[in-house]
Amino acid sequence: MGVTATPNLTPSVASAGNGVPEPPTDEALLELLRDGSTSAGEMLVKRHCQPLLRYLHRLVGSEHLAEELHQQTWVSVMDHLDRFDKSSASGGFKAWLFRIATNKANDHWRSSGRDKAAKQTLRLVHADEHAPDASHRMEGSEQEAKLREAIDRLPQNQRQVLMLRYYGNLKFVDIAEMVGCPLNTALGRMHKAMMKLKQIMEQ
Amino acid sequence: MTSLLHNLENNEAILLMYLADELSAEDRAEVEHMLGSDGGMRAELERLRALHDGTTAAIGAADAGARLPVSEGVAVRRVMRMMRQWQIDHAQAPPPEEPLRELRFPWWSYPLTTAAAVLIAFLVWWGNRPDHPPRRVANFQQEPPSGPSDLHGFRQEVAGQMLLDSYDTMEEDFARMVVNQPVDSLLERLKMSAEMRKTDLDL
Repeated sequence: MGVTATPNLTPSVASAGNGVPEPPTDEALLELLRDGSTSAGEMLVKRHCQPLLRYLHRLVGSEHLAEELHQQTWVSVMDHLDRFDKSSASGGFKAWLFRIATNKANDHWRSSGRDKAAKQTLRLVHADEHAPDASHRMEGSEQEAKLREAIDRLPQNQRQVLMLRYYGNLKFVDIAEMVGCPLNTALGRMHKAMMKLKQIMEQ
Repeated sequence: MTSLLHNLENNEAILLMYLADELSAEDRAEVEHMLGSDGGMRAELERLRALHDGTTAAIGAADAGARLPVSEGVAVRRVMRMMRQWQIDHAQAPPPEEPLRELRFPWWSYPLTTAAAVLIAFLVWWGNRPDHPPRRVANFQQEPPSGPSDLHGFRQEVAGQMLLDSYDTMEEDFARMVVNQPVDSLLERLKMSAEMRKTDLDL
């Protein structure tokens, strides 16, 4: 019986090989950014742009809001540059970045109230779907629509764990710490979220 | 790495951690031993693996067909603009103000001390101020009158003044009254007054 762990499916940063110089780590780029290097900052932003934007989009359901939270996340990174300590930060810069993004999303949910935010999200999603160029968008595909519906129907805490695991590629231990729950709870939420997604996607 | 295995509540949690490759080498070996001897657990592992793979594949496929909330280039540009502005703002920010020097005593003690000093000064002045209006003092320095009528007036005034001093509490009007009396009468009164004083002292 060959029992092997599933390799992580999230695309990671290209590793060194065939004499190609290894790209600088996030932590090294952050050090350069602290010293005022804008290009190091740009490299960091580019590296995490896609997963972070998708994570926020899946989490809040609105394109506009996702982009706003993306910017707020980076403002917060700049504001707290000196507080990041690579030796003590579990999960490295990426976990720290997603933690900030998660906090921003939580702040949004808290400040606007769940009902209000849900209504707004619904309105924005509705507006997006009925936009004149919607037919040209790939997001109008059946699979995407189904997935969006399935994710929207997940409870917020399950959605958060699933998205952090998928887009942040974070360890469950870090996710549990990030969302403030025991490890067993985080694993339970992950399991329930996957089950619900499967159920909805198969309908 | 510390053992997590015995803190995990159920097989789902154990297997999710196993699939995520987040167990220590000892814990992995223990789980593989359990899988080797437990067919039900092996089936559960396969179910979770399929669920995990199905979820990640569904999200991956949906993401592949969906555009980002905002194009990556635009998102990076916006963040970089904000980042540069942040750096400019912080480069121009004035140095933090020195904290105010701490007062040796509480702030309210200073006006209180001043008020107390003013009050004490007032009381000292009040205690030392003269009780009676300035007395009319005969001017012995002046030239004695030359004529007999003037001499009489002068003697009368001096005798009156001496009587006035001997009583010590006489009002000015009374003094005026007595000084207008004949000199002999005044001298008589003066003698009586002196004798009364002497008697008082003897007693």
